[in-house]
Amino acid sequence: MMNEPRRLHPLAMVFMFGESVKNGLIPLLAVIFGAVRKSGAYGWLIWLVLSVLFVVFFILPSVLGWLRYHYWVEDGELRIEHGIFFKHHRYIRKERIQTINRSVNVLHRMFGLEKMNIETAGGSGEPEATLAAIKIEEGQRLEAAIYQKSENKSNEKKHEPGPQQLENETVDAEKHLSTKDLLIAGLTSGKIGVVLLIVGAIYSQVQQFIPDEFYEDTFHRLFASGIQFIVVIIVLIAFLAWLSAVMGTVLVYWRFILVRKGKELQTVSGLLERRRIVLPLHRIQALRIVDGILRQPFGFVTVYAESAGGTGNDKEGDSIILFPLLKRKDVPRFLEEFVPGYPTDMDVSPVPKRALYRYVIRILVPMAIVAAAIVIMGYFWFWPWGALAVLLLPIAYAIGYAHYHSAAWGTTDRFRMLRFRTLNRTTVIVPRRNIQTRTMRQSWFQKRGRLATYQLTVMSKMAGTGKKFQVKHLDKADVQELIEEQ
Amino acid sequence: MRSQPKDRIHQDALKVWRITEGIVAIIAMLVAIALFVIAGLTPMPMWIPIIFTMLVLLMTYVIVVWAPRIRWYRWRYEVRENEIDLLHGIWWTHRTLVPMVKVQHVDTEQGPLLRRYGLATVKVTTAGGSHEIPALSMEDAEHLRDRIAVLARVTEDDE
Repeated sequence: MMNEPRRLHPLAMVFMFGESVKNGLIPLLAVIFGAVRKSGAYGWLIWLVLSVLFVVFFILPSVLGWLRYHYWVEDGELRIEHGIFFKHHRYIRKERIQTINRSVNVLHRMFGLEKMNIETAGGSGEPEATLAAIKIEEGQRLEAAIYQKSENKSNEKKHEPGPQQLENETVDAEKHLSTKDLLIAGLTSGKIGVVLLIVGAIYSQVQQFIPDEFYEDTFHRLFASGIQFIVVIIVLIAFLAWLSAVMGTVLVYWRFILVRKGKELQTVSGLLERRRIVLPLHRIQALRIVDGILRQPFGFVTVYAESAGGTGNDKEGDSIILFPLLKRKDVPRFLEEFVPGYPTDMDVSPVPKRALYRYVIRILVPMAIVAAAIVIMGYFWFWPWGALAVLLLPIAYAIGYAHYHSAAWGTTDRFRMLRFRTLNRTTVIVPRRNIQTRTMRQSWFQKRGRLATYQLTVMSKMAGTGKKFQVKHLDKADVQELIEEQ
Repeated sequence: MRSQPKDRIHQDALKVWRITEGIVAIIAMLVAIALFVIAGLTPMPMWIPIIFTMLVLLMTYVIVVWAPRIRWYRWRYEVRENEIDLLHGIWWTHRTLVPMVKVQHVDTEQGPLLRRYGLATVKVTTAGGSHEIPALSMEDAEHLRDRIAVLARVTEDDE
């Protein structure tokens, strides 16, 4: 039933139109502005030409694009044909498909439709195929058709009963994000920095349209009303940025549900756009458990799955969020329920004591140079306040110590574990069979201290790079053993 | 604990590296000459081109004379039945093991300089990135490529 060519829902035209307008926005605006300025006696003619151009460049391609877009399943392949002047054929083998990611935005919801992104390993960051608008039942049938055959094939090899029909399967485990946890996730997301960056970026764009008098006027008033007022303004801006960061997180993780059906995980979340990601367990390359800097004091972690087919528009790249907020002590049970086979308990070895020196010195030296520069400059201009920069040194030591304290590694017969800290503490658990290459890296300083860095790579969506994880300054003999194992 | 990889890359790698680095050095020297001309024609003080030239000479010695020798001396590789073992690096030494099972494909590559000296690079690609064994003799490179291809296929069948 899926093997004759099919069209997308006509609503896809709207999305194609939106896409082409988005891409052509700047030339479009430039032309309109130009036309408005020049519209004299022949104003109507210009508008006529503009309308024709608009139809030719934006509306017609959307309609034709929709008419010429066909997809179907044949010979174990998802086949897509599209293109107005040049016909593009894209055939994707079912067993190459890493993740299927379905989402519903507000417009989709009104018509009972959804968008489907299909990802394979390799290729660029873009999804290999995007079906912009299809009926939800159609999406379910297509997903079932894609998984059915490829799963059957692998099941024959392993002699295990497997999922046949996605929608009629029994649910083996299910976990919902409670409203309380959703709020905590929002409050501790630490995305405020991102929001401030965006605000800054928008401001730098808008700035050029604001007349200088406005600035002068505002600054005069600000200074006239005293320092308290400025402080209040800054606090207010920070508060609003933080609030929008919280809102952003809440919108994305709204009613987050994780389900395991047999050998497959599904996540659904989002308020405005409800996204659904399907991830077969065997496509998980590694698990990443992150103790966010703001969450660690409260004992909360986030669990990510590294998958070779990413989630397309996700900024995290190949990472898929398995669960946004989890008590650290619940992690073993979580792993048992949702990723059976992953170790819930491991021998964790810290890095040797002598590594502390290397962890600290790496941060202390640059920080000491900065501090010295500030103190010297401060001597001339703002003595004695510049001397406060000396306080940077204990802070640097504390950061270095935290890095040292977090660094660890662990092994079981089928898994390897790496733990390290940048700002957040990250624990990576990799099945041995997913490790692509193992590297021992040693600097001259490390060699003197009999230390070495342990690196490993796993498959990644970005062709030719892979994803690299590393822990610095382990005992050299340990690293040697880790990389030389068969 | 296994011994370190034992095979060396071709001696002529040194020549190829020295020529490529030499080109960089020549460009830097042209910049130095240009600086002298500028200093002669404008009020720019003479010590700027002098110091720059000294730095260029030092850099030339390091990247053309010293570093290639050490790099060649440090480069070791060995292709075993189950894995490819690579060891290289001057400031940071890297020892990488690529399990044969993970090898997706293997190529030989040759730029104009390598071709002039009858050398080729063997490039091994896995899903987690690619690794190169630079500058083997053409014969060795092709032999190695074919051997890795066969070994990779065999181990895949076992899996």
